[in-house]
Amino acid sequence: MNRMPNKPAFFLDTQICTGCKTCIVACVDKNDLDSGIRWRRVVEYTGGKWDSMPDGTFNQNVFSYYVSVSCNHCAEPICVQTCPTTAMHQDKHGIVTVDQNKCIGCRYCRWACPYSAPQYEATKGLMSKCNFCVDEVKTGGAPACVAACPTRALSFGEYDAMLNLSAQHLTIAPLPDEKLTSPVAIFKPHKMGKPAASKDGQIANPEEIKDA
Amino acid sequence: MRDHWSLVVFTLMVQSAVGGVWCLQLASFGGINLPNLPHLTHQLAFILLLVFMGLGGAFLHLGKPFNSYHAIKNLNNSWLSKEIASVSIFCSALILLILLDQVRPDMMNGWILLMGSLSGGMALYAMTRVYRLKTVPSWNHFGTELAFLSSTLTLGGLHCTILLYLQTGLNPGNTGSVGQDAFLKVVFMAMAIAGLALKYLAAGLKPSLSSVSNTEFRNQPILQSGGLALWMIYILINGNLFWQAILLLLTAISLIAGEIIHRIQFYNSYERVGL
Repeated sequence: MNRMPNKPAFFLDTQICTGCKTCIVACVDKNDLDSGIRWRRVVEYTGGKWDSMPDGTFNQNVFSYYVSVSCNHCAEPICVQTCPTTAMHQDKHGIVTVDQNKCIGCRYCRWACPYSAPQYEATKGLMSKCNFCVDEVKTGGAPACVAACPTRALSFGEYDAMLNLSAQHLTIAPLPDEKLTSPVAIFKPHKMGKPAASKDGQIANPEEIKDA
Repeated sequence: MRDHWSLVVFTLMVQSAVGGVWCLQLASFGGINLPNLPHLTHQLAFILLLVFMGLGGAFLHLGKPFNSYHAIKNLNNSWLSKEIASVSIFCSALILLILLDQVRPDMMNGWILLMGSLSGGMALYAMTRVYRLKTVPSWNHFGTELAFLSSTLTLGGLHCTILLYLQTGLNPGNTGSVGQDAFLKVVFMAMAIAGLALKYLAAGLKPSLSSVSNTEFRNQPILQSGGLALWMIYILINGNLFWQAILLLLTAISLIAGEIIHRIQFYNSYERVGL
C-alpha cells in the first residue's frame, strides 16, 4: 500500500535538537554513502559575548543551537533550474532527486544550492543527494534520519500538517532567506534563534558541513 | 573551488576566440576588405582552435564527460545548457566561415562575418549568465558581465595582433598596405585598452563580502597596465622585427598572466548564501 504523503516535508524542532548527529549516521548507513558524503548535516550556530558591567559583574548573551539540514525539496528548487541535463528533477510529490544516468558531474547544482544538498561523489564523478528515503516512506516507514532521531526533534509528514506543529516557522540563521528557493521544510525556531541571514553568530563546525 | 583550472581555460579560450572575431568585425566595418586580409582562413582556424581547446578544458571539468550529450536538455531553464548550445553554434559558424573563405573568398565580407560575431556574442552572454546565480551574491552583479567582456576584448585584440605580426611581420610578402596594417594594429590595441578600462570598472562593482579577499594578486592591474605600455612601444618601433617580437612576447605574457590571475580571483571569490 502506498502511504506516500502528497507533499512530504521535514520538520525540525531546533529547541530540542541536541546536535548529536545520529541523523547523519543513520543517513550514511541507510544510503551506504562514501566517506565525506553527507546528505544530511548538522550545523552548530553560535554567537554572543560577555560584557563587563560598571559594577564589576558580567552580562552575557551567548547562544548556541543546532540545525539539522538535508535537502529541503524546495518548491522552487534552484538545483533543478540550473541542472543542464535535467538529471536533477522533481517528482509529483515535490521530491527532488538525481538521475545519475544523466548527470555529467558538472557540479553546477552544488554551486547554486544554498543548503549544500547536492553532494559530489568523486569516485563516481556524479552528484547525489537526499531522496527522502522514498522506498521507506512509500511502505509506511520514515526516512532514516527521522527514525533514528533520539529526541524526536526531527519528524516528517504532510507539509500542511507539519506547518501546524509550530506556531512560528520563521527561517533561522544560518539558513538563507526562504524566498530564494521556497524550501518545503519547517524549522521551529530555537528560543535564541536568529533570523535568516543574520550576522550575529557564526557556524562553529564549518569543516563538518563543507562541500564534499 | 579546487577544480576551477579547467573552467579558467574554458572561459578564457572562448572569450579570446569571441574577441578575435569581433576584432575582424571591427576591422571590416572600419573599411578593411576581408578578402584582402592575409591568411584570413588561418586566423579563423586559429580562433576555432581556441574554442576547441576551451571545450577540452570544459570536458576535463566534468565528472562524467561521456554523459555530456545530455547537457543541452534543459535549454528552457539552465543557462549552462544555453552556454553549451551557444558555444556549439559559435563553433558551427566559424566552420562555415572557414569553408566559405576556402570555397568563395570573394563572398567574405563584414555582413557574412556577423554570423560569427553574433553567435560569439550569444555565447559570451550565456557564459556570463551562468555565473549570475541569485544564491551567489559575489558573482551576481553587473561586474561579472563587465569582467568577461573585458577579457574578451583584451585577449581578442592581443591574439589578433600576434597573428598579424606572424603573418605580415615575419613574411613581408604577405603584407597588406602599410596603411591597412597600421589601422589594424591600432584597432586591435584599442580593443584591448577598452577591455582593460572595463576591468577597472568591473572591479569597482564587486560587492564587499565578508570572506571575499581582494588582497590576493593585488599586482595584477600593474602587470596588465605594464603589458599595455609594452604594446604601445611595440607599435611605435615599427620596422624593427627583433625588438617587436620581444616586446610582443612580453606584452602577451603580461596580459595573459593578468587575465589568468583575474579569472582565478573570480573563481576564488565564490561565496554562496546559506550553508
